[in-house]
Amino acid sequence: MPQREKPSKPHLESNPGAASSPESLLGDRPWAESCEATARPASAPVELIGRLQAIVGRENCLTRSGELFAYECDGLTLEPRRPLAVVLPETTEEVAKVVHACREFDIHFVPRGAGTGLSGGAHATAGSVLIECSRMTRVLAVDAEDRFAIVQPGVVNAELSTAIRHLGLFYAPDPSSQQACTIGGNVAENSGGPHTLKYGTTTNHILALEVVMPDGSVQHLGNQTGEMPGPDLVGAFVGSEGTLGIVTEITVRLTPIPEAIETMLAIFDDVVPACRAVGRVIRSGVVPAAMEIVDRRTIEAVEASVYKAGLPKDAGAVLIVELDGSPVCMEGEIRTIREACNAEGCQAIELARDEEERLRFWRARKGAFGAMGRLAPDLYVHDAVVPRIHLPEILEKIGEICDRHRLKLANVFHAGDGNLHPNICFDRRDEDELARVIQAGEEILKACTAVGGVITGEHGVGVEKRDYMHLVFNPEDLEPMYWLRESFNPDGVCNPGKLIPTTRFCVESNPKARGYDEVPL
Amino acid sequence: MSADLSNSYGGAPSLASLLDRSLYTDTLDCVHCGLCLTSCPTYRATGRETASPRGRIYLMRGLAEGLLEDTEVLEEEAFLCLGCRACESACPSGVHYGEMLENARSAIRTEQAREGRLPLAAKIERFALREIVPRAGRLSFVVSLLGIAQTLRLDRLMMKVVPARLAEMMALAPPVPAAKDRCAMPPLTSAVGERKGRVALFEGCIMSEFFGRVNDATRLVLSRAGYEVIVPEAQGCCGALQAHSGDLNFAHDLARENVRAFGDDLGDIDAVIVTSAGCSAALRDGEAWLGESGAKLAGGVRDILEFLDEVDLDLEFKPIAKRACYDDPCHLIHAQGIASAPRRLLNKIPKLELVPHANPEACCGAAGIYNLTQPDMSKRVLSPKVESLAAAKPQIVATANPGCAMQIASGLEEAGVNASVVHPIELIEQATRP
Amino acid sequence: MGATGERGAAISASASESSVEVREERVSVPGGAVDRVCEPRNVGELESIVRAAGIDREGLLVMGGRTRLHWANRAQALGLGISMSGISGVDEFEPEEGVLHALAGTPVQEIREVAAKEGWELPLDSPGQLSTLGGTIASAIGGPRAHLFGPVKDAVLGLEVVGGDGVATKCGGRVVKNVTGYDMAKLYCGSYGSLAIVTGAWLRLRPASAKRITLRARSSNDKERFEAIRALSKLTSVRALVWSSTRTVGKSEITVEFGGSAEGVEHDRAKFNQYIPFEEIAEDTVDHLRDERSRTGSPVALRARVLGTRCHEMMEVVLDAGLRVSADPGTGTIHASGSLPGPSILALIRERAEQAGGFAQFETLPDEWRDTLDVFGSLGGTASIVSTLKRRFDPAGILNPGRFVTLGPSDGDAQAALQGDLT
Repeated sequence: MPQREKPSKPHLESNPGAASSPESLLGDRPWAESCEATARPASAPVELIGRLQAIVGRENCLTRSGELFAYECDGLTLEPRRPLAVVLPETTEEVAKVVHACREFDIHFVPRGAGTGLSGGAHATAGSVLIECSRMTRVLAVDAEDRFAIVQPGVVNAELSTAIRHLGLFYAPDPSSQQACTIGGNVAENSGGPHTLKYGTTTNHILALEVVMPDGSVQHLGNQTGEMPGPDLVGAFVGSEGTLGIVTEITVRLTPIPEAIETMLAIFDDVVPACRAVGRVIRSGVVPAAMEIVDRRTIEAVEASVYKAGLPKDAGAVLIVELDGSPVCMEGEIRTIREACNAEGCQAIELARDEEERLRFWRARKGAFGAMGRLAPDLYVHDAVVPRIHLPEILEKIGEICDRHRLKLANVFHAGDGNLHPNICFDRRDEDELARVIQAGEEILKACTAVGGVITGEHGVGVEKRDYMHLVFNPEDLEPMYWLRESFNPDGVCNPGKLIPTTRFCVESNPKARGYDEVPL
Repeated sequence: MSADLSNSYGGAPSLASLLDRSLYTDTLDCVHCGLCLTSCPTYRATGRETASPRGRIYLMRGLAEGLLEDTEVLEEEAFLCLGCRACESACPSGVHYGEMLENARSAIRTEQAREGRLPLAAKIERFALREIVPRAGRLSFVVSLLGIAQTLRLDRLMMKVVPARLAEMMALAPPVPAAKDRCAMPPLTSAVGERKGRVALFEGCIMSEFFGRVNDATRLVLSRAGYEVIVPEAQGCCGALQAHSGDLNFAHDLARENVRAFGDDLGDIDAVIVTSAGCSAALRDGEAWLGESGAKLAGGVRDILEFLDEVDLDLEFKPIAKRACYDDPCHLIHAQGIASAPRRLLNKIPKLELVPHANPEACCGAAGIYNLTQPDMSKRVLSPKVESLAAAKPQIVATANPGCAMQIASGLEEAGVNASVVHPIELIEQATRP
Repeated sequence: MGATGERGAAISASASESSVEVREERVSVPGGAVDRVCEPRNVGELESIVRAAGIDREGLLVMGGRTRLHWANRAQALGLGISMSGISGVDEFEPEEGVLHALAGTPVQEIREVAAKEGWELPLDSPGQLSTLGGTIASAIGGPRAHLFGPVKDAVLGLEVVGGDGVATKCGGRVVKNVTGYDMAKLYCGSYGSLAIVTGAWLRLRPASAKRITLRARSSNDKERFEAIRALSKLTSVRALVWSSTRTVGKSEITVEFGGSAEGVEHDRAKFNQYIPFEEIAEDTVDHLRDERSRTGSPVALRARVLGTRCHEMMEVVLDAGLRVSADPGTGTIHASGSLPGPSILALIRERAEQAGGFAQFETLPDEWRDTLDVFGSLGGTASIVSTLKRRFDPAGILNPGRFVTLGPSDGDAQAALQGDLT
């Protein structure tokens, strides 16, 4: 046997080579200067507006300043950007025509769903037209036998499940914003949700896509079986945050509604023992559908809202465990969960008595983010993932960071996945506080990556974390990502400035700026 | 007229001065999560962010903070809003959207009047809502005229000659009831059997003209249930329509009149019973509108269905063998959170089969006089409602608000669906008739 | 080809500098062969070999367990074989987490055993003792237990690769939920080593089943029977269900593997037995059925995937052609092997599979049939995207050249096309 030499294991170690600032990420590249706004037009050419109106109709092409103002951000209210125009197409053909028209006038474009994203993925990058999919809301086909549905991107996540419930099926990915977010947006962000623990994220449920490519052509990816020889282009497209093209039709996998569902609430003095109980469950061999933890401050906010579910306000943390599957297995699994929670000293365990109570628990969990609007004018919803075993220590660390910066913190997270959502309450009008929020956010991300975690588990990189990519990846790692983007979106016209650090991109989109025509290898 | 009207807007905040008002602080409750989007009928119909609660609030905030100067879009979108407040039921942050909307509309109208650009339609609307609707005699006169026109079949002829908007209004109006059903209610109805309490009935303006039968059914059921019912004579319009149209100050005046009519401390009245969801929601706003002085009346208000569900109803129900759908009025479910009480009551009626239909909590598009002011959007909002009701194939559609009843009835008729539209209290009255 | 100096000069220089052993060994694959094989001992060595090959423009034949080397189009301009066996081993295992990291050359069986010691199961079902992790990821073909495990890509949390530029990169991570950057691992899974060479992976494990049993029954091939069994396969404790059949025998054999809690397994076993009587057989039967699929010894072997409701119809087409079938009705996957008179029947089978919502790929083919048949098919109309990716990821065209995707003249212009398009 040849001697086993350990290759570099970058996931585990922080990158000594990768420096701590975005600037150094760019190394000695000659075009290393920020240029996102380089020479982008400040308003849409009149002729283009005429073309867009002809394509989608006058009432579906918004250009007045008030209209554009309302579209300046999605769920992330920081760093707003006003689009040049907003178009609301209804069909694939209209999307393709809009793309062609924008290209003709050298105008960038950004796809947008319901605007519930939390990383600014649907922010209009400087000088771009927003292509909003909120009118593409048709369910085109449902095949109950082969368990798939074909939908337009504007179909609302929860409404798809409602529409197929009578067939005994549902659409499994359930982001907390599911009552408003669209399947198209879910595809762009590879959205997760509480039930990803058992069912996986959006990527596990997308079989095929119809995409308007950045050059305006219509391309089909994947097929109804969900498998295709060769690189998984559907898989690469899901989670690409609208930077590879605009999805216009989605074939989703449908899942049978489990025969039995049991939801348990375990009440703990503190989040740390709750996290340890999660670890015990993971080790026990039972795979719950979901394991969620909400902390005291979150409970307070939720219980004050329309989503109140009777959670105990004096509890330090509540662990929600949902089991589903065959009825014959429920009893044993419930016993396992009880044992795991009791071993960590939980105060009490309740089982949802009926479907109504179960749904109430979930509405409380899913309304948690919005409910925190009660705590302060603004809310920074963070998203990071750590290996599950590090949850207890990282929660302590995050608490310490927020205390140090004098910030109000509430935690609600997908404990089974190690997916944290530290929510920081603030008031953006207070510049000093805003600066502390940003600083604390950065420290949280660094703490997570230091233990082998990543900077986002389900909200995406967008504009929010684009310049933190270096915490996880070194410049070499990013290079193939540029290759992927360039293969779909060679001139960078589609959703520029998102997901991977911009500087290279800006230069890419403007070859003359870099003074040569090819990227050196 | 216009000069007169603009003067009378005085006192309400202008858009520019929103910054100093509570409205701005209220906009800060919204964290821009978007959970309200799909609950909003106008967002669903248009897909526009600006036609959603989140978008409208963002515009208000932007104007208040001076980040946005153009008021045009908010002026349009604020009045395109149905005011159904379904977004409040969806909002985890507890944003008081309905209140913000009324304040914003009031500010907009004030600003428009000040700048001498109040739209003609708004002037007409204001005139009607100030000079006709709250004045029982004048309203009764107009309704009588409509009744005569309907009897002589003149209405169809007139529709061809009057402006389209007016024709729409006339088409929406239900048949004017016979004169005997439009006469005043008896000031006192004694309890049948042992007296359990004393309640006051709030008649409402549109209710008493077009739905006197509902008020009468209410009176009878209350009496059978052991309540003495008084109908204070000095009571007037609740002010809901005025507040929704941006005439908040006038609405506050109406509210003050009602406080006087029902007595500052309500006296020995256990509750003020209201049969129209729009009115009960507005009366409950009394405290927000008038402060301390409005609190007592606001606290005493009960929707009839809510009241009957709360009290120990000791009545025998006879069967009504019909298939019925209950459709939630927005101002009952979203503004007052009353959803299960009406269903529990209807379920007491033997053989009445309560069948579910899709989205009973969605707005029907009536929204006060929205179907008159925004007829196109009103129809777009109505059509999914009619579809979902038609699919459930009911013989009876029960809903607890006059505007909704008229709107749904006209929608069902147009779609050729043969179902009668009634207030749930009418069914309860029928079932409990001795 | 290479513009710089003598053919193979850079590789030789690189090899001697880093003392990578280059041995004389002939490995034949469709369309070509290599006479030299090197076995890098770590990723650094692999990087320098690939860089050197880029300079020399030498095509590299990347090999894992060599179980699927013939499963490819005709190779072009092969220069050097790379054995990944030297980069091997499970080097991180976190039993509390249910994740592990292994190097590409590790036999999948070895990873299975490491995981099993701590009560975990590796959700990869590639055949035999020989398949390596890297080869399994590169070909992305699961076995019968894909019914439970899902596709290979689902098990992969993060990957390390060496690209066509000879630079080691990583993507994904060790956590189970991650949207940090593009999901590059999806591109590398199933790209047959044509975009990058996989060197290591973070894998997610699943809890081992508390109880496992395997049952067998004989059945006719009629549609009613097939559909009833297919419906039963959706029961939660079914791990794999294999339907083996030939026209000549007439009867088919149904093998079902169950796993899960004792109660669940008993419950589902009873459901099967209510329908037709099953007998309990050796627990590792599905392993054998899986391994047989990859060593048929027949001149023709294929794998098709269709919609579940079209699986019976597809099976009939293949049986009518005279092939033996080993199908997974639960996933709509059909493996078939045997002899055929000519390539036209395969073209027809592919057409029928595509009509049934899926595809057919040809594992084993008589060499002369490769003139008219592409092993992988048209890739559902995505060939131009795949060749664009190939040009970006492997501009020198040295990774498994021709075997999966073929570029035109290497000047990188738009004439590059997938071989499938040319046929």
